[in-house]
Amino acid sequence: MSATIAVPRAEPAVRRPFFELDLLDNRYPALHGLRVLGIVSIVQYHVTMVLRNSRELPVDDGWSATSFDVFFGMDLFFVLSGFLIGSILLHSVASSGTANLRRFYLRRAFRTFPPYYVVLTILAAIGPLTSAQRHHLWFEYAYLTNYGGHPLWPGDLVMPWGWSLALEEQFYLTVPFLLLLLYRFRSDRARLTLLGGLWISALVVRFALYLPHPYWNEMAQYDHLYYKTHARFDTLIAGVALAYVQRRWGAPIARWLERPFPRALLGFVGLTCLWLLMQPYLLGPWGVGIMHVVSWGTLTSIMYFAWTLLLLNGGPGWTQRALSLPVFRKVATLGYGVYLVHLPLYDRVLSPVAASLFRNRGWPMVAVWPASVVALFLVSLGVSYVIHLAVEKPFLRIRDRLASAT
Amino acid sequence: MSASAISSPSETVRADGSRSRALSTWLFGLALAFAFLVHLPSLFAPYTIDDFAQRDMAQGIYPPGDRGLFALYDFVDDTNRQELVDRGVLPWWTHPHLVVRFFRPLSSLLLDVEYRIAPSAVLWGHIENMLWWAGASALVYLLLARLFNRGVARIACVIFAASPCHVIPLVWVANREVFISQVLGLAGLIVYVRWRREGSARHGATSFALFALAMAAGEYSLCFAGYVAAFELVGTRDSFVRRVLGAAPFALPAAAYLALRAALHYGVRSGGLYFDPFWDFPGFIEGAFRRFAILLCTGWLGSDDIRLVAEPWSVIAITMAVAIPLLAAAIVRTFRVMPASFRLDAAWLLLGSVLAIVPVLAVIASARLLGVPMIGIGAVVSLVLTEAWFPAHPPERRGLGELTSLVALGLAFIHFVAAPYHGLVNTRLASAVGALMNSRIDWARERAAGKSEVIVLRAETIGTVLFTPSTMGDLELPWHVLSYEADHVLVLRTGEQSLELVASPKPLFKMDPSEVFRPNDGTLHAGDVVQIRGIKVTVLQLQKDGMPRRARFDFDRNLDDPSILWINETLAGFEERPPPQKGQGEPITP
Repeated sequence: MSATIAVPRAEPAVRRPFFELDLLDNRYPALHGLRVLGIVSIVQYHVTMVLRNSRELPVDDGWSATSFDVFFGMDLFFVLSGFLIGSILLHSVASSGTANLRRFYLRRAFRTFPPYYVVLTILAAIGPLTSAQRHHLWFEYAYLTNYGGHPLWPGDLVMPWGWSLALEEQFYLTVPFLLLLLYRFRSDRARLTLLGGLWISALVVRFALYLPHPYWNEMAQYDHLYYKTHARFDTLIAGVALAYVQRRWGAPIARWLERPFPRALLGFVGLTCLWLLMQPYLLGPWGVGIMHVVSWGTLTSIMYFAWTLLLLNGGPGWTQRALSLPVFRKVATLGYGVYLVHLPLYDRVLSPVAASLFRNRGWPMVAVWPASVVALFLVSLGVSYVIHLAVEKPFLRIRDRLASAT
Repeated sequence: MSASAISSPSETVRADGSRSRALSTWLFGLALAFAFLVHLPSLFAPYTIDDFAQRDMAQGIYPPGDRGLFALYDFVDDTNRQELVDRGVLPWWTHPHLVVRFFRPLSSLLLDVEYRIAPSAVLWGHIENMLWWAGASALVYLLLARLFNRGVARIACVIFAASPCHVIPLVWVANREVFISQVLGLAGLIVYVRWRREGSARHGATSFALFALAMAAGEYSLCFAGYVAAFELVGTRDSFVRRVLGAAPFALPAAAYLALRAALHYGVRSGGLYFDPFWDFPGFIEGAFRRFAILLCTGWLGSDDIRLVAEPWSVIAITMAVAIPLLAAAIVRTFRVMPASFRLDAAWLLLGSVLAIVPVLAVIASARLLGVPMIGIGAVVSLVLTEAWFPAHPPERRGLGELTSLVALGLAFIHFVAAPYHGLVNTRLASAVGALMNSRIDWARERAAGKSEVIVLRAETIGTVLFTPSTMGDLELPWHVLSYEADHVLVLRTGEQSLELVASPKPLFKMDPSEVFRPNDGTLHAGDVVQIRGIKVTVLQLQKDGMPRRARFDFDRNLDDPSILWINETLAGFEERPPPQKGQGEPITP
């Protein structure tokens, strides 16, 4: 690795007040706002899904279609995970010549395992479980949710939304070796070629899986293409590539982005991808599968890559300032917890209330839907805060003792 | 490193400059290729509706026979209306005073010659439309390169060329008059600006001639009045008298055109699709503001005109309430920072783009009407993008500067991605509709061989209702459509020679103010009788909204006559559907 690579300063491990919400690294504050947007997009998606599918409430078809089109909040977390993990490992490799696997895995495990296992265990305990759920439970405990069940099949998994956490954990297992491989190459061009090749290979995999089965229905497409790590790793690779680009050329990119046109160019690329993501019928009814193949990783990667690069280096514009508001850091700190608890909270607690408001109190859906999103978001934040204090923080303190950040 | 490899700073700057120019030229070429690709499917569209009628006119078989080189847009008047309804060229519910006569002698002449030379050369018709489109785009570039610079002109040219406003004129050969007006009007405008700026009589005369030719192409050229008026209002600092005199090269031919049009009784009357202000001023004014708002949204924001026409006022109002302040702020900021020499021209192009909408308010709002307004819209959007992206001085990252950057990003997305996409979709849709219509007509033609009359119980597409005998290629075979866009229709055979149709929940046919056939205000009432050759129609019942629900059709022959071909048009196509036996009823569905 070149000696000229700028090493980002990791935030020192300091003892923070117990009730504070400052867990997340604050070098790139605009990313917190982006994370919150990602959380909101996931929450609204699931609100629509539960209202329509579980509660069978008449959410407007056009509104539902748009709500489901905004599916790509999850991919933001993949890209940001890739970026975060890539940054950490690149820093480690650059400073010590090794990925320091023990410390890396310990830190990831103490960060992600405890809240996940607590929520999974509580949900499994309060049951009742179907036989399929009991059969698949060990997959979920082993972070193999996306290979050990069908997240879209009702009653198949205890925590079907854990597929994305499983996918990330599987990626964490392999990414240090990717970084070590990356640094076996000497030139930037070779490293970027490797990352680019890996990134595009996920698209090739999706095409290879899909083309022999063009008549897969939507559920089959999700099962084979959307949830599986071997078809969805490109967003995470895009994050790693972003970390590499940022680390290697952050300063020149920031200078380049001082000019308005390059900023507009990145914004334009992201906006065009966003628009394409919102057009599943761009190629007609028979092209939806192809659009999924391209959208589920490739377009989302390009969009988030362009926008994140812009947020990291584009200077203090309105968007950066708005997304960097301090409140977003606090909310984003609770994002993991919100993701873990929002669906059971809505499915079991809030959606019956929503259904009652619609059926018994005569609330129109145009009021029930946004009220649901806001209520679910706030309640999830509250529950997540409790988990943060009761579970995350104690384990993070242990983590810091066993494997400090630097 | 050899000495020759070392270049001086000025050489480096020159090399960078030429590289940048080359890149810019390449990008411009690519963008134009993209615009061409957006419109490419139009080349493969078949003839549709009016095209067939005009081909018959050119061949002298459209009633009332040979009508001369200049009358291909002279569709319906008092002399042929009844004959057209009797033959089924127009449906039975056509307004009894409907007149559709467009004064477009030059466009008519060119089409007439084309149809006489090659009556079935549909591809050539589309290629010719494409050439006119290319000519209009090139002239937009020439106009703006002269007023501003090549960079501004290139961006504006791409916005204009890729705009969905060209979709219908490209797909529809009969709509070529729009392009002819644009090309001649743009040429006239370029020379007009020179006449006003340089004062050369030669330019004045040339501008006059070009505008006169543009007027001869059709009433669409009146849109250039917007730019001429705007130029004289804000584009020059001449005295009032000089401004009035300066406008003469446009004003004289425009006045002559309007005078001739009135003297020869051209225009559209008694139909809902057009609101001729000279014949129905209250009708013109009534929906004008809504049509203006829709066209403004379509031109600037790339909104889907077809969807917007169906939206309630609130949606249009909210769209405008959000968009106008944002656009205004970005435009104001752009005007502040742009070179002083640009301001006058930017101002008259902006105002002109708004005023150019006024003449087309006489028609139901549609993107196809925006060709001339798009000249100014493209120019102003290009200026906003240029000043936001390539400023002479680094802009501030807050306040109006930052807002302009964001609006510029939105405008770029709208005009380079969303609007061309709508254009592509609409081109393919229009081509598909034309192909579908032709395939259905082929089906009908095959089954109509040897028949004496075709009766369509229920029609689903406009191609089945309008000019269909021309499309069938047999004007002598009566083609009668009894209902249009009805949903479920109950056919009751009330006698040997009579039947009744009852529609639900949709009416037998629409009588919206925006329908080409009625009202204005020829609204039918229960008990009204319409007599056409061989059929007497009595309206029996209206829906609550005043649309016809039930009607009786008394024919002058037995309906079991095997020489009648009975058709029902479903969403899947035509099907033979003879009427039920006497005293029985039968539902038919889409």
